[in-house]
Amino acid sequence: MLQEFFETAKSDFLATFGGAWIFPILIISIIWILVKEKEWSRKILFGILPLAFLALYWCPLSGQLFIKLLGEDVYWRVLWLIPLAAVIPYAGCMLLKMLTGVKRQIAFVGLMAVLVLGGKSVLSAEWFEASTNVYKIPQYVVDVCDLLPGNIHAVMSNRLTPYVRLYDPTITLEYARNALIFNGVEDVSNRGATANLYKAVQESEIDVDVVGPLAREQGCTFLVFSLNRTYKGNWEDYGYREYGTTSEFRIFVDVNYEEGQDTRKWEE
Amino acid sequence: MRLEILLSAGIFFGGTFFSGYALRRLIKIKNEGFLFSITAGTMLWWALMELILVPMTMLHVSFQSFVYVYSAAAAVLTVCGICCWKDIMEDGKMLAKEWRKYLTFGHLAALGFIVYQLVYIHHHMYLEWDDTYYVNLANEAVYSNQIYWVYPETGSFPDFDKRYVLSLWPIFYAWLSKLIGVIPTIMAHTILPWLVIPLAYMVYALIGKKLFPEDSQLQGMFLAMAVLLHLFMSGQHTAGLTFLSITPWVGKGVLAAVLLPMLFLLVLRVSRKNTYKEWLLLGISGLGGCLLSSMGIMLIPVFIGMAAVLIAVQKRTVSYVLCGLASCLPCLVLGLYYIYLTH
Repeated sequence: MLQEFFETAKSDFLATFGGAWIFPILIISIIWILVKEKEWSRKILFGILPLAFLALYWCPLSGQLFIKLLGEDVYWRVLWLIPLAAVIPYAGCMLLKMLTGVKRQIAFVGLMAVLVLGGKSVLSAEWFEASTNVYKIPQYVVDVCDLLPGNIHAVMSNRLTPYVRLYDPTITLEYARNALIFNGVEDVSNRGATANLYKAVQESEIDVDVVGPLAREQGCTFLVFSLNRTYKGNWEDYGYREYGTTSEFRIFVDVNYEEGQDTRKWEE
Repeated sequence: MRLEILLSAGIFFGGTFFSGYALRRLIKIKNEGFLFSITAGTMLWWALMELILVPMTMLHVSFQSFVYVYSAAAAVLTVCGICCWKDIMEDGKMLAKEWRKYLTFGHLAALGFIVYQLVYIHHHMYLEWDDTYYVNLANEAVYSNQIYWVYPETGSFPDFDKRYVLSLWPIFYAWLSKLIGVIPTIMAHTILPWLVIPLAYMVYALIGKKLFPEDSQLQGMFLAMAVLLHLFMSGQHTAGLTFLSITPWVGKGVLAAVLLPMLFLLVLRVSRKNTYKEWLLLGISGLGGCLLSSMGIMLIPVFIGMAAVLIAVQKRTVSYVLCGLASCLPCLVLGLYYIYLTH
């Protein structure tokens, strides 16, 4: 149990501070503050308090309590307690305080260079991509939603489910992330129609004879799948026809659907 | 979209500015400047929202009713703040006299970095998978008029996940969306960064001012380095500072980037002035933090508690521990309720 805790603490710690010099800079800053600061209350808040939080993080007793209360997956959030962006600049300013005039400005530029070179830019292509709409969701989602009417119930490709309702909350979905639990399950025959529908549409070749009746049973008026899916069977046999396509998706509609009809689903 | 951003900023910063003055008048904190009013006002708004929202959610009250009640409460606070015009004028005069001293290399560098960050984020997007839950929670409030009683990812069945019921931060921007007339998705992804990022740096500007009251050059340098630490961190998703750039609309991000630094500022103030009003501000901020994330309900008492114990040891007085405990009381009550709900 103790070993398990230290493994969690170590991996979370490395995930938070890895890939940059931020932790060594923090430790140097703390030491500098503890040595140079004369005012005790500042020594405590900028030097001892961050150390106390580090100790709290690594202490198995408090750590295991945190894990029990917060959950193992988010133990790293305890590290947020360390006021990094106050401690490091304060240590830097203590150094700058000893200088005046141009020397201070040059040292300031040097310290900024250390922070820039010691870290990694957050505002980079690693995390961000150019936005093409004010919703800041993938453009392929907007393209699909612009074709669909509102107030409908739909089954959608996994690429769409996280974002569709961010664009149009009047669309209800047969499943979303809640269906991911079925991913590792081989046989879902006894888990209800939604689970069976989800599993059936994950196939690269969709068996229309399976999906069609299930989608109809669940009241799905619209079905949206990636263009690269192929189909075995005939959609018309189950009352669906092609509604439209975008550059990445093909949309099917219930032939009985009338423009403006409200087909949203609500299960008690 | 510029108009919507300006309107949102006007409502948020204008409202919190005046509400901050109302709070300051009530607890008699004078001559702290405009930025302090905005940050204190924000804490008051969030604390007030937590007080109003939790019972209304439990009682299954409609979102529209919440909008009426909370808007009225925020409006009353704002009007009370406007009535404190003498205090505002005093701070205004002080700023008019001293503004030149803030034109330092450090301040200009910080301003440049902040503008770069805002413009970059405005033109880019970060795809956060959890938005399908949290942002849709706000969307669902606006579109179905229900607070938290619909499963936001599908919208097709009732849901009540006890883990988040005490920290419904998305309802805050759902409320702003309702006032401005945009969908919460746009409010979260496009407008909120313009509010949260400046707010976070206001807190650091105040910390710098507290640390170096006589040296505005160092204040600017402190701020510039704090901003850089947010921009050039490890780049790991799990680092608290990174959240300010990648997901400034997520409650956890606001907790890490705004609330915890705010607590640090208030602890710094308390370490100098052990007065009830400073502890009251800490208590209000703690309660406001509970709105942001259920994580806050736990981390806030740990932060305040640890700081209070260390200062108490240094000052050799138990009053810090007792006052710290009192300021954590709202979090502790909500924490116990959280444990009751989830276990």
